[in-house]
Amino acid sequence: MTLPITVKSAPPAYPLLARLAGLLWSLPAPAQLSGDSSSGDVIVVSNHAPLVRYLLAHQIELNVLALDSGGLMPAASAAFGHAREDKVIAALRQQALLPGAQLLVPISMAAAMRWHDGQRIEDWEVFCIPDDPAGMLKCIQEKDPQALRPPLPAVVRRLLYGLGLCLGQMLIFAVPLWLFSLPTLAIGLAGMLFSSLLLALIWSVSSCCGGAKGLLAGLMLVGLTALGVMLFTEGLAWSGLLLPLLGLCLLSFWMGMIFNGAK
Amino acid sequence: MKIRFALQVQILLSVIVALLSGYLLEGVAVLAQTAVEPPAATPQPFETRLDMLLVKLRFFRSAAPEVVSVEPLAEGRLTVTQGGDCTILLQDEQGRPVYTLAVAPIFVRTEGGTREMVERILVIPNDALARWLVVSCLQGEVKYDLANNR
Repeated sequence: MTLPITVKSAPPAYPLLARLAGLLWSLPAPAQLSGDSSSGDVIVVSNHAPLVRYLLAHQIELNVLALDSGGLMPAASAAFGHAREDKVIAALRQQALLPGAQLLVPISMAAAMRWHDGQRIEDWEVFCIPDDPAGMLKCIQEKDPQALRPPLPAVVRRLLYGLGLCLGQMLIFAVPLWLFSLPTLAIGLAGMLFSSLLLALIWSVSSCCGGAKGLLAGLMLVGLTALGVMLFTEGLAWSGLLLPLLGLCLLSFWMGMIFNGAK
Repeated sequence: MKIRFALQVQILLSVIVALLSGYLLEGVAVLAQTAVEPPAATPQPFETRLDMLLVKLRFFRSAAPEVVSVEPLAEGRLTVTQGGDCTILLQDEQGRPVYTLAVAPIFVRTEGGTREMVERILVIPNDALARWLVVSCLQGEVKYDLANNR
């Protein structure tokens, strides 16, 4: 299969700063169809602002449909369950695409929706492209599908991107927590790390919203902490532990919101 | 512009959550500083315990009390009292109280007049930290060095 698309200029590398920021924070762009191409073909990506800007800046002859997926990168957004077939098809229907138009979908998002190369979705044809922004453009420019690497398992991607988002939050949390004391900083950062790991593992277990998953992970964390306190300490006043355990729950809830993306 | 605004809101909310969680977590730091060793088990009455002290005291109606003897007991039961004006106090090396018992010596009136002296035998714990036995009454105080018995 070849792509009937050309690029007007050679794509530069994806900016390192944008790549780094995309790993650490969710950067949402408006969820909408952008571009002025008349070809009718659409590249379907998550509404990660640097990625959408990058694609539009290189004047690819196709339109960019940014899905409402929390501003995360495509691989992360698919790992955290934002790429859902029903929502994507609903978004596509709203755009009144031409029959026979090609849908270029990052491989991880396609895999999450169980779409594959050449599959017809309603009147449109799916074409898988790499998750990496530079790889996307290269694939389009060369008008030839590259050998796509299958995406990593979703739980591995959740762990990787979850740790990235956790690191991003740690950078913001560090100073306010340090204002209280160094032990508070250490305990807060450790709580964020453990709740992120736990959230990444249990994310697909429940279908509720990110905050509820965060609370669930927080309660599990509180249970584990209480167990550790019971086993390894003696004479510690439980009444004094209530507020810190509530703090752990709050951190976990917040990480759940962050994993859900900026919506 | 909208994107920058969204990021600013994220950062602002993150800082608020960080301050709130810091306030809540601060209790752990306080706990870590004040975490004390488990308190020594408070001696319970009416149960036979190992390693006690048999203390023989004399209380005088118009003089300071006197410690007659202090003997170790392999096992025994704590003396239970109803309280009183005199205090039997075990102190550690720095004078901090380890064990306290209040007693009320009763000077009985008889035909021959009021008794001037009352003897009491008490059983108190032989606490390893205890260095001094202090018997304190309105009439005066006596301090006995328990190192003599060890």
